[in-house]
Amino acid sequence: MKRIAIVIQRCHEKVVGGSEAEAWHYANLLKEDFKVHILTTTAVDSERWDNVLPEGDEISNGICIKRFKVSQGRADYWGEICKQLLDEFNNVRSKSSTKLVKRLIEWPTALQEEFIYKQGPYSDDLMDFLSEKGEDYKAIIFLTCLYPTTYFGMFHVPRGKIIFVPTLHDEPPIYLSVYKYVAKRSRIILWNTESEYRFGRLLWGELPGCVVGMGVETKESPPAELNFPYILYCGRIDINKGCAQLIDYFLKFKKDCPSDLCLVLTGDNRTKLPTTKDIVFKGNVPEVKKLELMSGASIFIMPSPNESFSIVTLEAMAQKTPILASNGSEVVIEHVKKSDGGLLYSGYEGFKTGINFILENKHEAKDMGEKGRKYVIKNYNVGKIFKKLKDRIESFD
Amino acid sequence: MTHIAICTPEISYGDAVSSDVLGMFNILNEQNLKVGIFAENILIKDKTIKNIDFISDFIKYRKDLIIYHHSAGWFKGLNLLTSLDCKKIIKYHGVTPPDYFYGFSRDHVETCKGGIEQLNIIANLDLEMYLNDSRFDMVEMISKGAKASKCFIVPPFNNIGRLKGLKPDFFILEKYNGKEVNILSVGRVAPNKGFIELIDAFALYNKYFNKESRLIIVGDKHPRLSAYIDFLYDRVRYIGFDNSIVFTGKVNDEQLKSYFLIAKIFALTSHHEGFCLPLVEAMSMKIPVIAYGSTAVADTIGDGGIVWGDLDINLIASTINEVVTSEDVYFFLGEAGWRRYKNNFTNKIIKEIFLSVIGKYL
Repeated sequence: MKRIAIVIQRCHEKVVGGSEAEAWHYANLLKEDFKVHILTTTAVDSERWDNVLPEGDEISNGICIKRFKVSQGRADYWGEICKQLLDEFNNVRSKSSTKLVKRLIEWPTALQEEFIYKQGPYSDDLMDFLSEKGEDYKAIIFLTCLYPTTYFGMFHVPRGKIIFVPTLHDEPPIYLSVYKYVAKRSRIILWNTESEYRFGRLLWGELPGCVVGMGVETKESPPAELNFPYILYCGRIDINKGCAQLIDYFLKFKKDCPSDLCLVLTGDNRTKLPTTKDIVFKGNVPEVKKLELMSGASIFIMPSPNESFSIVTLEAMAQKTPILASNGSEVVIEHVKKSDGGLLYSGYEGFKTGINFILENKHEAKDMGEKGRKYVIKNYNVGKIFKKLKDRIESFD
Repeated sequence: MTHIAICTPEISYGDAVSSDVLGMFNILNEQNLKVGIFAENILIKDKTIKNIDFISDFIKYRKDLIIYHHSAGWFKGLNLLTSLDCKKIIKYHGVTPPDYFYGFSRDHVETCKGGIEQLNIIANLDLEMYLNDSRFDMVEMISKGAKASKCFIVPPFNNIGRLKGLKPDFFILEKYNGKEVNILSVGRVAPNKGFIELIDAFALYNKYFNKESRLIIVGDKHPRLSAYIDFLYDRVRYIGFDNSIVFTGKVNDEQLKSYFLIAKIFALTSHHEGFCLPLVEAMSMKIPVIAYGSTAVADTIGDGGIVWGDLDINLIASTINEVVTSEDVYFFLGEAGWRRYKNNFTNKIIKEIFLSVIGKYL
């Protein structure tokens, strides 16, 4: 059986993250036809990348996870380089035309690499492994553009074996010009959505690739039985995901439109949540529980402007839950517009109107749910994604 | 157990010979060997480094080993080589020909002359082994009388791993990482380094290709070479580039790293190099290298950069422009340099070469 490697910054059941979920998903899809190795680090936390898990091999669900120790985690002063990058990003953006390629940050390579390296996680042992064993794999799938495991890892393996899954979203670091160069080194790029593909082409030019995405669980779950109606958010609870604004908007909404409606949040919390009965934090919940919560929610809310695929939005759609999403993320806009499975909002008034419309128009809300589910089944069923992925890998012969 | 003494006239941070001495010490120490460093001028705080006068307390038996680093005249060292009854290996780093210093520094002329004269003696002592930083150095060593069968190329150990981990100096990043294209050269400010030609090449580049550019020369300015340094400054003033050419003087490792980080191009027009460690440092960071291929330079760069056989300032200037303006060439060259480093000059690779060559004497 031929070997496939999937390189990802971290891999553990406790880890919540889009690209990590995608890596695990691909590994499970491919394991029947290939011997799959996940090459990753011993880190769990994405703020410091400390070595937490043991080094070495772990077999999980028939997949061999090879963990390598982190030799460079997040440097204490990484924020200082980050600030310089943000200044440069704003400077370039203020001067340049609307063409994204003109907005690339052309710092010297060494400085760009310092930013990526000191962001962590970097693993000397993983790089040595890729150098020594990269030839043994039929293909090596590198997931998510920003991290050193992908960026530096891609220099250590033959170009002809690289499948690059960038999971791009429009954020300042992605404008570093070295990412364009590594994208060019890959044999093929797999995009998660059409909008990501469009963004990638605008940023890096025309490169070989196609849209594959992820398969989504479409089995209908029974609704969670909470004693109150609720809006659900699932994912990292983080300012970058629009959660601070979501909470502000929701509390204002409750003042403007009093009811027993609650906001239920699941996932890693990186903010200070207000203490109020209107906001219910459930932490990390098992997959089954998450789908039940989605199934029982009146609305699934997606406030994030930084989504590259937004699997949770698609999972909620598959559970026939109407979506209310901010219009900040291209990919989520694409999901909502193509499916008619929900509404988009901009600003507080849009947020308020969106909630009230869905809650007050049961028939329309049900219709959105049906359409959302249809969209997911048509575009993101597991069998279809598996075939696309396998065809791409087979073409490497 | 065999005792191994690594001998050098001077040890400090930041120079190539010292990096090699410390690298060797660490590798031999890792092998659980009894190893010590002995020097005449000790400029770093490290209790394990002993004055050369104490070497006879450490090297007592015929089976013991001296690894002697030669790069300049050192009479005390030469006396030890001839008087101590033990095994001896030379590590040769190249000696700068004295001709470059005539008219600038009598001291440097004498030191280099001493280095060449002693090289003639050392090469004919028929010692156990002659390790050389580069092919260029090895050819010189053989031409002076060393047996070819005893000569090997062992590149010097480097400090790149340490540089990688250091926090950069943000003052330098903020000051110089702007719209200007920074062209960097690293090396002590000395006549053999060809800085006059580099300044002239940069002036052409700046005048005809890119006004928004800067040349940064990082390297120690030795007081005894003040005549040469004044000559360089006069040249810079004469051509009117005071604001575009920076001489940093001696820098610490954090500052050195920062200058590498803000460099778009590494340029070298040196007339004489025994190896040129800064080239390897630049290549390790994917900084495209453009150089005049004198002495050991072409061998160090290999296929990791652009090397010209003639020192033609027009060619250097237009090459800089070509590399800076072509995105594909720029990145390709950076990667080629990194690959050259990765395949030839990591300390891991140098360790393997070093131990395999000297293994029978350990």
